[in-house]
Amino acid sequence: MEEMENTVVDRSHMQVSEEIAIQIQSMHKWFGEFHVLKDINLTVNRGERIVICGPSGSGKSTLIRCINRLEEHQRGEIVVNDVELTDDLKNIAEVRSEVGMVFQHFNLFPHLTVLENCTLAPIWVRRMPKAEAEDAAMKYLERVKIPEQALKYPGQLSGGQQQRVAIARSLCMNPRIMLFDEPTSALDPEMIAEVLDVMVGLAESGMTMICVTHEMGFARKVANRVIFMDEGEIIEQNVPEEFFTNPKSDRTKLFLSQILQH
Amino acid sequence: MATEDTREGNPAHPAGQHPDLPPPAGTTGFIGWLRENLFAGPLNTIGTIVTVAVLYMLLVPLIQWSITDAVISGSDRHGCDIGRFAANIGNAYDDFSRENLALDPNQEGLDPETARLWAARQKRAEVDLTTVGSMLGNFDNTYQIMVREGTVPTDLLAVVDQVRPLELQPALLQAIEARDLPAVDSIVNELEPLIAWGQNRDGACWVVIKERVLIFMLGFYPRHEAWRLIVAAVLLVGAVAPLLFDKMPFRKPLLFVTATFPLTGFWFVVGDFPTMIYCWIAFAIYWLDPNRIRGPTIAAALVLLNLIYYFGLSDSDGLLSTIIGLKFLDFRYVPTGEWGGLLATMVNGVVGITASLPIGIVLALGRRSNMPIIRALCTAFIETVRGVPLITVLFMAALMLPLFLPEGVSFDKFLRALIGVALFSSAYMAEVVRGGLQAIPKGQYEAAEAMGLTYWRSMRLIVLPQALKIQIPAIVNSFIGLYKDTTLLSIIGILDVLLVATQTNTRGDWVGFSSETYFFAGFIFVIFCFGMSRYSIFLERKLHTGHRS
Repeated sequence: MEEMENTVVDRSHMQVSEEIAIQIQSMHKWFGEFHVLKDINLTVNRGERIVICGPSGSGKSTLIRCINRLEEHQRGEIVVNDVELTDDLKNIAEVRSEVGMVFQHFNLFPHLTVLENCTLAPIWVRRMPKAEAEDAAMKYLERVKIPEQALKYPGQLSGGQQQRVAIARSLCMNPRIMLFDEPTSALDPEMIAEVLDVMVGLAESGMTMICVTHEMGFARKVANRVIFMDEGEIIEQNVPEEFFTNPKSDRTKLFLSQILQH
Repeated sequence: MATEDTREGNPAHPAGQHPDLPPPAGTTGFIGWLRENLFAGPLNTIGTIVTVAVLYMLLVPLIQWSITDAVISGSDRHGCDIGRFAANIGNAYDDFSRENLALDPNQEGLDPETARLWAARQKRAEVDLTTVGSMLGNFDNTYQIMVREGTVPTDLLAVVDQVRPLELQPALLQAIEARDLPAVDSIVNELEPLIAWGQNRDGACWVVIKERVLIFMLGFYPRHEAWRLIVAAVLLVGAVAPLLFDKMPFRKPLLFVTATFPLTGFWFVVGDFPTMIYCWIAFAIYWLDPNRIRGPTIAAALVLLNLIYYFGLSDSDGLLSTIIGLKFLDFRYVPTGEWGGLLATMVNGVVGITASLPIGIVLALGRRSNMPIIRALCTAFIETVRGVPLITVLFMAALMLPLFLPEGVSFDKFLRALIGVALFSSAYMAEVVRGGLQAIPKGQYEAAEAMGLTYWRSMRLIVLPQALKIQIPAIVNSFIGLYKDTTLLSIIGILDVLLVATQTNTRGDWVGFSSETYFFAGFIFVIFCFGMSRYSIFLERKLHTGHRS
């Protein structure tokens, strides 16, 4: 960790555009009586790579799950790719087809092969012909470096391979935004690198990414903004260099000292 | 080199170069299997011996009864009776106790309790002794009938020639009457070859099944129309096979048979609906048209033709009506009252099974729905139907439902029972499916949702395939239960396989063969239920795709 803190990372080749991808305004969410997200305001431009961190229970997963309406917000407004998320199922479907999501536990479909996992959404949501969908899927499987596993079932792969399939599966829908919900925290240590490599490659290709993770090395390397959340609020956000070396709030300092200690 | 010194044992193999050796003798192959599975320890060995002994004691009599001593020739009961009568001469003689016969209940000084007991024993001995005589009488009577009919088996003729039972009968009866036991002994001794012959022919009487097999299969379905059922049965096999085996040859054309079976099966079994062919052809055209352009048009035209016929022409006898109505293909209408036996059981089982799974799935999804009214309705239906015995449902369907229907509206009792069975089992199926749905991790639903799949697609493509796979054993369990529950239809007077058996047992000419008829009815159920069970195991193996993620 020490070594990393002193390295200056060059992220100049990852461009951020002026166009707004996600806009969240005074958004609140409750789970029953529990106020889980409090007055969230967040604007994400296209091409941004945002890492969200914070202690468990701080609402960071809930926040990104609101972006594709896996969770429903109760107040405020979320606009994704110029589509506002409301009860309108058509809007929700439109947003979901443009937003890919990678889960902590992969959530691959165990009854389908890797290739079928990847082609399912293009065929059924995008109405893509099967052959075309399979070609595209193979392309993405090559990109995550496991084309040879295409005909296996998820249960036959290692955790790292499964997570890479999950990333390829999301990419097959050609999304404009990718959400990552703790993509490496269920993995054995030796498999984390292979997944992070794929994510770094994705960031370099210009994908808009929001990533809930505790991989601070990853944050340093690719993020253009790090957001710290605690108790349902965005406490602090900054470019990684500033965030790590010069945290402003006490809670951030405490959190960073806890996760960077060892 | 240094590492080699630290190793004990065979120094011929340096570390890391040990070759694969064959396993010790007697641990593999047949002997190894026996050792490991049947004679692994004292307890295991005792268990094996006890099991083999019990199996032997059960199977030998069963095989004797059902195969070696069974009667299959002939066309009436005499061939079966005569063997039993001959054997029973010996059985009654063996049962007869001469000590008991010699008891004197009127003896002086006997307490009343003992006297009563002795009287009963003596009576019993007298009955046995008389039975010896009456069995020979029965034998002789039946033998004379068979002589008249010319159906005496050749091996019996030889025995009769040797023993001459007809001539022995008066002497035997006289000896019994006179309580002349030595004379009885000698006569029975003379009858010994006949008794031995009978003991090899006193097993199951399969003649009753042979004679009644059509009723067991069809009930009172007209015999000259039975070919239609054979066609329907062949079509059923063709319809079910492609659903069961997804890699079989000719699967695609057979799926056409599957898709049209509800129409064709109905047409062949019920009859009187030849314009069903139009729907059939319409479907075929739609199916075969790769572009789905002309197909739907022609299909619609044919369905229209069908409607025109039914609402415009069906009552007239003109040429147009004959041609459009395909009256030359008209099968005679067979009302469900004439159905019976395996036909009734199969129609109920197949319709019940095919209806209960989809209805059960819809009910299960409804019970897990977010919409409170749908959830309440589905829950109420499931809980009500599950809380009521099937017999009650069937009585409702058979007796009470007609009371609630408006005047003039009535529909078939068989159909009402069919609906009752289907709804009843779908309530059970719903709970089985719900169990499967609950076993699917939340992440699967979320992943499907996050992809943008609609609710119904994510259910059909992601959740249900996994949920149903988990529940295959329970689903097949329900199917088997449903198939056997169709026997309850006999209570409301539908002639299913079991009722055919029961009715056979009460018919004058076949009284006394209930073992055979119930055995046969049970055998039919075992075949189908065992088939379903094996298929479920096959399916589980086939769908196994490694460990769950």
